[in-house]
Amino acid sequence: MAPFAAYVPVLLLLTVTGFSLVLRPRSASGRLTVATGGLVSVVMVHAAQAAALPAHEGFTRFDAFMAGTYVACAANVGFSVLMARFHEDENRRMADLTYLVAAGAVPGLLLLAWTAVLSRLV
Amino acid sequence: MSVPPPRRRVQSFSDIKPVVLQRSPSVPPLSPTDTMVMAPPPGFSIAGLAAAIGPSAPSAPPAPKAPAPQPPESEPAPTLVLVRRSPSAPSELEVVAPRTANARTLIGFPTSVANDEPAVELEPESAPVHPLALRPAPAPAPAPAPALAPAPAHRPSRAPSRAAIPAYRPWPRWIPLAVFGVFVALSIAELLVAYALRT
Repeated sequence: MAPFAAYVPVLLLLTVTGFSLVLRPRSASGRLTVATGGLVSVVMVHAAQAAALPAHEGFTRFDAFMAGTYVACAANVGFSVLMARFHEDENRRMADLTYLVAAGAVPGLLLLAWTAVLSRLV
Repeated sequence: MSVPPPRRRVQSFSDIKPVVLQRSPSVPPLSPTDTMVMAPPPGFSIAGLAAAIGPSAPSAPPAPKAPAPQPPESEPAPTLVLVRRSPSAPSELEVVAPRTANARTLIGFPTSVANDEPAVELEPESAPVHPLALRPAPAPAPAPAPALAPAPAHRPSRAPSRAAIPAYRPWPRWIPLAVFGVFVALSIAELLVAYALRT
């Protein structure tokens, strides 16, 4: 298990990225930018943490934690893309539905993934 | 037999040429309820409109089939019709003037038309129904057009009616909570499974 300090940057990045969940469909392009930037930042944090460890094989607990984080961030990017598409097609109803579902699914996926990792199910 | 001047369709209000009017002293002043139509409504000529309305004053000349003096050949047909709301039925119009095809002599308004172009005919694209419907024509008169051309201020909007636009019903605001609740339930199930496997 990685030290708690290894999780702080990830939690901080996810908190900032999470603010994009309140952006309306008309700001889908900005929301997509924030989501993509958050995913890239998390990947870079993971890469930096992995480089600080001695050479090893296998899948550590921190790797599993970050994989779950990637899933949630990727879902955020996917919802943002869907929202942007619906907004371009002037399909306001589906864009609003995507916005509402993303507001519950992205933190839900994160919670599900972290619970699975921290409870040692995966 | 005079050849009727060619008619052209009005594409916009800028096509309607202005007519300068000077009221003759012999003509009484207009009342505030009078309405001036600068061109015949769709489907109507001056004579046809007068025939459809019928004479309302004893001094009016007979039907347009026996028209009054014709204008000269080179002169365009009159395009001025003076109508007013019927005092007895406000939803109807009655023609005040002209009674014949020559508006100048009968209406008493010496008009100076700004150009010599033939009379224009108002033909809206979709024949809107004006609330001021014309009074039914007498039996021998030709069938009039269904409605009078609306004034610009009363022109109905071309935008689709509110009923044609499906009302947008927003999604319920509890959708994020419901979705998040599903994931919370799955997480709790994970914890239970993990606890069961540990023991």
